[in-house]
Parts: sequence; C-alpha cells; structure tokens
Amino acid sequence: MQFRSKKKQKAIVENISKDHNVPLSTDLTENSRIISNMLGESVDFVSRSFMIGVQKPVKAQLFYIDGIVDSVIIHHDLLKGLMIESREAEQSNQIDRLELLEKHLLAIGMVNHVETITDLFKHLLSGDSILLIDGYAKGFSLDTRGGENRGIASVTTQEVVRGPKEAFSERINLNIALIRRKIKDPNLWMKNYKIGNKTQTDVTVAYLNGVANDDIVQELDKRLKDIDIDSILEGAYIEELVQDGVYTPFPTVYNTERPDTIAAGILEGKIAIFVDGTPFVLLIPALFIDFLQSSEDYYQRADIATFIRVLRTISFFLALLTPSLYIALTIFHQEMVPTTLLISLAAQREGIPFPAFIEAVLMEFTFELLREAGIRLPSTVGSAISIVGALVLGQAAVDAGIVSAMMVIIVSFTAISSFVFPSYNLAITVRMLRFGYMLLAATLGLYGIFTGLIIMVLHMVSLRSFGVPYLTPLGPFSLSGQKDVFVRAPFWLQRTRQPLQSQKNIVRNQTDSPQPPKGR
Amino acid sequence: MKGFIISLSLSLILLSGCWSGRELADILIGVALGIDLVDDQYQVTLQVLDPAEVAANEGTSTRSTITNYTVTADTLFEAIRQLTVTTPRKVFLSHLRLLVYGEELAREGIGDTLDFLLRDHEIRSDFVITVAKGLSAKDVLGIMSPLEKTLAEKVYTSIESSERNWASTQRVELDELMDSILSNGKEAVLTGVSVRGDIEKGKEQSSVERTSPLALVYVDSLGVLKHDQLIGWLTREESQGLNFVVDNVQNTVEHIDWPEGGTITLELIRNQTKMDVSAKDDQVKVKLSVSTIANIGDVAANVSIRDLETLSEIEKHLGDKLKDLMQSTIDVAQKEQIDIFGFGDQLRRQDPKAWTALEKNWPEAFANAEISYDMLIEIRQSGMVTDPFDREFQKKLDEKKN
Amino acid sequence: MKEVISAKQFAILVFMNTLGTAVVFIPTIATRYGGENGWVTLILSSIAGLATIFIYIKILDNNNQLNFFQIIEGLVGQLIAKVIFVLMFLFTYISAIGNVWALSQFISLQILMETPAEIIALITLLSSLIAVRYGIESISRACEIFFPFTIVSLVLLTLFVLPEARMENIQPIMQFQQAGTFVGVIPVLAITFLELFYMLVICTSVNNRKAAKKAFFIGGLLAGFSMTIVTLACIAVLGVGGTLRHTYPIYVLGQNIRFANFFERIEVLVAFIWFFTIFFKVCTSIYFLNRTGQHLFNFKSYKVITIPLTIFAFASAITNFLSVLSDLKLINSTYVVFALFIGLIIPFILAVVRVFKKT
Repeated sequence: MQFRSKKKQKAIVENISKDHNVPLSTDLTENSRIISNMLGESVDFVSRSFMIGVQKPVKAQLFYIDGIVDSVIIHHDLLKGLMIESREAEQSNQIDRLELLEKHLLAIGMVNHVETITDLFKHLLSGDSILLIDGYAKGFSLDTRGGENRGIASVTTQEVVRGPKEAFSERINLNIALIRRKIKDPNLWMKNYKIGNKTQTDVTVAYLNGVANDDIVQELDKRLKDIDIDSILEGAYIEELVQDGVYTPFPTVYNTERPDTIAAGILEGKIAIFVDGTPFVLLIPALFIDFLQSSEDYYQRADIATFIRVLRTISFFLALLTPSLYIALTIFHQEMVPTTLLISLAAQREGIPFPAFIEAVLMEFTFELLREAGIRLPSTVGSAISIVGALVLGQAAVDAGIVSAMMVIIVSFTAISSFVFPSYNLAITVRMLRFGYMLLAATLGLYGIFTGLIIMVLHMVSLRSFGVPYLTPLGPFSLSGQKDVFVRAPFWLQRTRQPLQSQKNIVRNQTDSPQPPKGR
Repeated sequence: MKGFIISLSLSLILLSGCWSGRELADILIGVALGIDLVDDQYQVTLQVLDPAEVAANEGTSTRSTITNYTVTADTLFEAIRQLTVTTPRKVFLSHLRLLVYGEELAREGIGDTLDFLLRDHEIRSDFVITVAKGLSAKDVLGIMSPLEKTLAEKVYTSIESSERNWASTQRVELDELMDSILSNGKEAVLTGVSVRGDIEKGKEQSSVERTSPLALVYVDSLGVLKHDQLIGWLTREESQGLNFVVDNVQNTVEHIDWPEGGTITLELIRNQTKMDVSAKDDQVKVKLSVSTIANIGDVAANVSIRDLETLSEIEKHLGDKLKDLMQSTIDVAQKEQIDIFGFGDQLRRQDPKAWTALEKNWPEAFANAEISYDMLIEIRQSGMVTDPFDREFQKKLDEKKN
Repeated sequence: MKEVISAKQFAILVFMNTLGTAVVFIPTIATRYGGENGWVTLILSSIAGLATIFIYIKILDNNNQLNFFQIIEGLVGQLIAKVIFVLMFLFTYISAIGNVWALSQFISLQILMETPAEIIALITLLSSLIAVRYGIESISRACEIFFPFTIVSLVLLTLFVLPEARMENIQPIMQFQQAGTFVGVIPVLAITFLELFYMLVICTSVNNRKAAKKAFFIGGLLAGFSMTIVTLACIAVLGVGGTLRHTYPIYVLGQNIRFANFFERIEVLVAFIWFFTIFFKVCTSIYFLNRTGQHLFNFKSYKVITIPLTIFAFASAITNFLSVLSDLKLINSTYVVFALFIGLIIPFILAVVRVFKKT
C-alpha cells in the first residue's frame, strides 16, 4: 500500500508548496502577518520594525530566527547601518530606494532578492535575515548565518598517533572550509543541494573536477535530486538513500570525521558529501579495502604501514571466524587439533553444562551487551562496566564452571580483533556476520564455514559502490592497484591514482625515489 | 527473490542439524590400542585418557590418568564397536599414538587387522606400530609409566628418541608396514616393547610413586616379520646393524676396543649409507657405502688423540666395528632368507630386468648375495679436551711409581 | 546486460575447472596405469590437454560480437548445432552432478562423518545456485579472490610434505608399465581437459578474444603443472602402494604433514584446494547448463531455469551414483568414451569446419 500511495503523497506535497509560492505583497503589514502566521508565532521568530531615513522615512521590517543568526552582525552592521547611517545616504539623489539600500547601506557579504513566500522561508530558516520595505513586493535576504557552535573539536572516533587531530563539526560551512584549506586548487568544485522537505538540510557535494569520474558525479547528482524525504538529520539518511546495493550488511559508503581522510579521498578522485548538522562526512565510491585503511597508514613509514595493514587484514578474519573455528574444531574436527591441545581443551570442557555452540553464543552475546552498555553509559560509569565484564563474566563464570576458560579467551581475542578496524561500521558488520558463521560452524563444521565464506565473497564481489566493484582491486584484480591495498608502497612508487575510481588524469606523483647526493 | 533463496538455503542448513557433532566432553580420547589373540578371538585393549587428570595443574588426585578397556570379539571392527558399550562415552580414535600387537597374534599374522585400521575414517595412519615382546598387549598397556602421563606417549617418545639417539629401533607406521608386507623385495620389521620388572605390581599406581618403579617398559629391539607373521627378534646390536644398512641412523654412540687396552667411545653425528645392488647371472651383489662423521666422546685408553695417525687408526677401528655390526645382522637375515633391508626393492629400482628374473626366487637370491663395504669415517671434534684425562692420569701414576 | 570478464579471470576459471575433482582422483588413476611413472602420465596428459585446448580455440573466430552458440550455429547450421548443444548439455550435466556427488561423498566420509552426503550435495548445489544467479562476473571475481588461497595451499602442501618425500618411490623411471603410462593418458584426459569444452561459452564473454585464447592455454598449463606436482608428491610420499590403496591419496598426503611438531593434522589445507576448485567447477558447469538451456528454449534470461535445473541436478546427483567405488568405475569406462566423443571428436570436426570455411 505504501508503494502505491507514494505518488499521491508527492502530489499533495507539491500542491502545498505551490500554494506557498505566492509573490510577496506590497503591503508590509500583510507580509508580516503571513510570515508570522505560517511560523505559528513561534517564540524564536523575531521581527523588528523600524524606519529608514528621516526626511522621507519609510517603514521597514527585519525578520530573523533567533539562535541561528549571528546577532552581532545584526546589531552592529545591519541595524546600525539601516537606522543611523541611512541618514547620510539620503543626501545622494538615488531614486530607487531598494537600489540605494543594496548599494550603500547593506554592509553584508551575501545579499539576495526574495520575491515569493517560499523563497523567503528558505532563507529565513537557514539563518538569513529578511528585510522587507513597505511598498515593495520584494525584499532582501541577508546572510547573517551564525549562532553557537562547538568549534573545531579533536577526533573522537578514528584516533591516530601521528597526524592531524582536528575533526569536522556540525556546521557545514566550517567543514567545507576545512577541506578548502587543505586543497588549494580551483578544480575543487562544490555543489549545494537542499534536501529534506521539512529540514531543508544543506548537503554539499565536493570533488576534484577533472579527477573524479564524471559518470559517478552525474549519477550522484541524479540520486541526490531524486531524494524526496521529510528529513535529513545525519549523513546516514543520505547514505541509505543513495547507495547501490540495498540488501547487504557491508557498508558501501564511507564516513569519517577526519578532514584529512576526506581530503585524501577527494584527491584520489572520490566524491565527498557534506551534510549539515553532523560531523561525519560521506565519501563515495567506497571500496571494501577503504574500511581496512586508516589515514595514519600514510603518515607512518611505508614498511610499518604495510605491517599494520597486514595485521588489520588478519584481524578481520580473526574477528569474523575465531569463535566459529573454535566451535567447528571442538565439535566436528577433533582429529585436527594437536593431541596435547585437545586434551587440555577436553579437560576444560568437563562439567560445563552448555554445548560448545550455546556457550559461545552466550559469551559473544554477553560481550556485545557489555560493549553496547559501555558506549551508552556516561563515561564516568563506563569503568564500572569493564569491572563487571572482567570480574563477573570472566573470572567468576569460569570459576563457577559455567563457561570454559578457553571460551573466555576466544571471546576476548575476538573482541580485541574487532577493535582493530579503523572503521566502526565494518566492525559492526563483522560482529553481526560472526553469529551467522557460528551457526554454520555448529551445524556443518568447517564445511559450513567454507560455504559461508564462498557465499560471502560471492555477495561481496557482486556489490558495487556507484558502479565500482566493491572488492576492487582484488576481484577484479589489478596489479597496479595492489600498491595501496595490503601493501602501502612508498609515495615515490605510487605514481598513479587507484584505477576505476578515476579514469582520467591519473598521474598524481612524479617524484623519483630519493637518492643520496651524488659525488660522495 | 534472492532473499527468498538465501533464507530457504539458510533454513535448510539449520534444519539439517548436526549429525556428526560431538561435544568434547562426550568423547573418550583413545591413545593406545592393544590387540591380542585369545581363543581365536580378538581381544582388544583400548587405553583412553582422562583429560581432567592429564591436564590438571594443581596436585594430582588419586585417580589414574588413563583407563584401559578390554573386550573380545570375532572381528576387530566388532571389538571396537563393542567398546562403545563398555565405555561411558563414544570412543574417538583419531588421536591414537600407539598400536601394540600381542606376540601371540603377531606370530599368527597381523594381516587381517590391517584392513580395518586403514579403512576406518577416524583412524589416521600416523601412530607407531609395535609388538609386545614375550607378553600380551594387554599387559603392556597396563603398566603405569612415570613422567609421561600415558604409556602411549611414553612409548611414542622413546621410540622417537631411541631412533634418533641410539639407532636401535625403527618407527614403523601403517603405510610403511603395508608397503613392506605387500612388497616382494622387502620384509617388515616392527619395534618390540618389553617389560622389565613385576608386571602385576607395575600396573598399580603405587608403582610410579616409587623412585624406581616396579616395572618399566623398554623399547629396544626389532621383531622381524615374514609376510605378516612375526618370526623372530633381532638383538639390540642387530637392530642397530639393520638401521645402519637401511640408512636410518641419525645419531648414535659406538665404542671401540682399543688394542692396547681400554675403550674409546664415539658419537656418530652424521651417517649416510648408500645401497648399491646389482645382479649378474643370478648372483646378487650388494655394495654398502657408509660415510660417517663422528666425534670422540669418551676416551678410556692410553692414547694421544692429537696424533693424526692415531686418529686414522681410530677411524679404521670404528669402520671395522660398523662393518661387523652390519655384517652380523645381514648374516642373521641371510640365514633366515628374509630380506629386511629392502635389497630387492633397490634392485628393482636399479636394474628392473634383473629384478623381474629374480623376483620369484628372491629369498634364495638374497641369501646368496655378496656383500661388500666401503667405509668412509671422519672424526671431526674431540670434545672439550685434547688429550684424554686417562693419559694424564696414567702419567701421574707412572711418576708416582717411579 | 552482457556480462564481461577479463582474460585473467578466464585463465583462473580454466585452472579451477581443470583441477576440480581431478586433483583428488588423478593420482590414483595415473598410478594405477603407470605405477611409479604416474607423474609421467600427467606430463603427457598435460601436453595432450594443451593440444585439446588448441583445438577448442580454433573453433572460435576473433569476432567479439557473437557468443559461442551463435558461432557454432554459423559454422554448422541451426540443426546440427542444436544436436551438439544437447550432447554437450548431457555430458556437462553428468560431469556436474558427478562432481557434486564426489564432493559430497568426500565430505561426508572424511570431514563431516555421519552427515548424509545428500545434505552436503544440497548445500553445495544451493550455494552454486546463488553463485549462478549472481552471474559469471561474480563467479569469476570470487574465483579470482580464492585463487591465491588455492595456490598457496598447494604450494604449502608440497613444501610441507617435502621432508617426507623419498625419491626411491619414483624409481625406476620408465622401466615398468610403459604401456600403462601412455594408456593412462586417456582416462586422465577424460576427467580433466576434455571437460573443458564448455569453457568456450565463457570464453566468448571475455572482453578480449585474443587474450582469452591465450588465457585458456595459461590456465590449462598451470593446472597440468599443479596436477603433475600433486601426483609426484603422492607417489614420492605415499609410494605407489599407498597412492593406490587410499581413495583420496591427496588427503592422506595432507595427513602426512608433520612440521615443527605443531603444524600437523592440517589436512584442511587439502580440503581447501579440493573444495574451492570443485565448487567453482560446479558453478561454471551449471552456469553453462543454464546458458545452453536458455539458448535451446530461447528464454530471455537464463535465470528463469536456474532453480528447476538445480532441483533436477540435486535429484539426479543423489540417485545416479551409488558409491565412491562405482564413481571410479564410471570414470574408467563409459565416461571415457563419452568424454572422448564430445570433448575431442566433435570439437575436432568443428575446428576442421572452421579451417575450411576460412579458406
């Protein structure tokens, strides 16, 4: 039913907005009444009437929404200019008052004309101030956006040892500025969208013109324009509405709060999507390997970075498969465990009331609970959780003979492995899939795990992120792409950008490998 | 649609359940299997572990770490199945380390037992096969062993270490045994396990609580099989000789009697024997080229080993010793017409045509084979001292006398 | 949408398809005919196999537009082409269900004891159904990802059993059973290279026809080499007797790994090779079956027949083969004749027709 009525709903929405698309009236009182009514006389709505000029005073009214405007600008630059300095401007023999205002009195960077109610609201609600003059059916929208924000904070989700610590914040223009500051190239193009019928959220798409794949830019433009939703409160809304595959546990859009990661992505030919109101910026197309890489890989020496990447890849498999391998080996394939290890495992399992699978699921589940509780709790109570987890569930459960010590080791090991990922959303995916693998292991042993792996890989290779195969450059394999996958080659070896993301203008580096000075 | 297929397959997987799943706590880990012949029936003794006891960290309790179950049945497979009735849990044989045949069964022939061992999917072929020398397998498995917690582990490791450091045993596994039994050009040998001491008392826990246990299991000789029947035992020296011939010596110790009195003991650190078998007019010629590197380990004779001539004399004596060792084994084998060295197989590799002609009468041809030796001995190091203590000691004695 | 794969992926698919099943049965078959010279049989078979591939690629022209079915129809006319397709369909069908059943038997015997082989067959077929519905692009990409694992486990297997290998076991070289060494080539060829005929269908999906033909060779060469190495390892480690005695000698080879006292009991390595290769072989052959079915019945998309075909294949797999023993018997008799006819004689005639049409 929902599908069928979608068109109807859309028509209704359009009708409403058409009604509002009425031109402004020349009567200031009338305009003021309409605006005030439509906002339901909300408390944060401020309207200030005043007179411009002394000799030939004219009634004017300034509207703005308190809290999202920079009040200093309004008081000092705007009102002062209009009410006091207008007297001097009267001396000139300008005929048209509007032109006079715009050219001489409005000491504001960005001034737009508004002629309809819809237009007016679009600006008003974004933090602009609206100036209407009696007798004119049009007015000005003045850029007074501002208000409180928490400034540039430091990174909280993707910490690095070496590298910039600044993070994006909730204000889109600040976020864009952070990128602009890193990439001083006129080819860094940005396009603005207002998405969300109610929220009118600012969404900005940024890419490096000439490097980014034009097809992907156009495809994204189309998908963004197709969005018809009430609200966009976070980047995740956009992510879910523009991604390729719908039924997949794997993330196909990358998100980060690190400006350096976004800048690096843009320079590689990817496209960044800024969404107002969230410190997380999206990056497309996102490949699987992106989620296993951290910006610090490029700030550490190449060999160290390679080592860390290999470590991370191993940890991906460990986090995914350790409990299921344990289940498979202890339930089905005891002959594959070395004898001494098997004896010690068997000794631990004596007297444990649960089958190995139930025990594993129980412990993994407990761990997930602990983890989730640890995130939601205020940080002051957070340490209590770790005490409860370590003492009660680890020590006491083993001592009481409810779970085996090996199981606790397995669960902790898996947990540590899953914390290695630089990207939180892949970690969640892995956690979720882990339970599936445990189920497969408990029913079909290693064969189940193998089958699961094959199906997972088949699914992954069938995924695409904006047309780019998800497992590039592993499948389809590309040798030149391997320079920045598991191995992070030194910069002087990475002369071209990753293939498939940008087809043209792929040379990015022409530095030769450093040599010791000649003649020594 | 995709979702439908995935959920369908998932539910099928789930519904299929787990047929072969066994919890670790539900299985008995069998580590040793003993097979005897009692009244024309197989008497099977299975040694299983009590994991809790084996892995226990804090002080051992009074329970034994191992338990033996014995059943009797007409066929081996039946016997193993019957064990399941006797034991509290399902028997799991993949971790079998040791197989012991009772001597009686071994003399009757072990061939009938091999097929099951090879065919059963649970049994891997990496356990060692031994014969209980002069007693039943059940008795051997009953002996408590000190240090190692199970007898199986003890025998397994002592065969391994004696093969490596003493060269008196051979580690024989299933596939090798099968090959030897089936081949016309080689007969099989099996390591013998014997018990010294009081067998009955050795079965009690109290035995291992003493500093010198009441009964100990020894692994020190090889039994010779003709086809699949045990026909006799080689002595320790003969076993060593066999190992020298078939190039199965890694490290061993040999002593030589010094003509002027006293002994010199040498450690053979590397040994390689090359077998060269040829045949001309039904006369088989075997040439054994032995190259050995030895260290001087213990000199209890009045001799200066700084002297190069003395060294070469020692080398010569060692060569003769090794030659004697091998020859005595070959003599025994030729007398019994049993080719335990695989000369026949080697002939097959080197001169297939001659082998085809000789194959039928190989035991006779083997018995008449001419053996020649080519010894190459090299002494490398003389330990941490140059001149032996004995010599200095003698000097002192002489001085005192004077 | 036309699916396109790269030549590299095609080479890997050829490799997997040649190795699937074969890698397990080949050592026994070759050794039965050739004794110690089993590995020589494999070298000869690889050469003969490459010659077969040469015949196969002669059938295709360099026109990238037409697919395999259209090419054959252009060559011999609609009617004969349809007969050939039906024959190929039957042959591949038998080989596919045979492979599924062999895999299921192996798993239920060695890995999941007591689990009925029927369930394993069902799960394998269902996974391949998913794969086939994802399309050949996904299959070949997944293949590409598992390929390194297959190669690494092959290399590790060979390296790990190296200390156990005894060169005496392969001596004397070419002294006994010379005739058998050559005769053995036929059954070996039948279950390896002659089954590759259906790969031509995938060959026409490769973006570059010339490179695809080269890739066909490379894949075949690599597979032949791997099989020779495996057979050599089996004979050297297990001996002729051991190789013949065991149903799955390569698995026993894995059991023989004893490395650093801890890396033992890792037959899983072998299961890896075996499982991945056979799975992709099953996927590719079922993909071929679907494509042929689509062409014969003029369906718009092959996806409509995937599900019924899988159900049929499952039913025939669990009813048509009795045991491993009858499998081996089939491989050695009827199947060889069938394979020679469809895998060698028909392609040869087609290649000859192609050569004549050109001139």
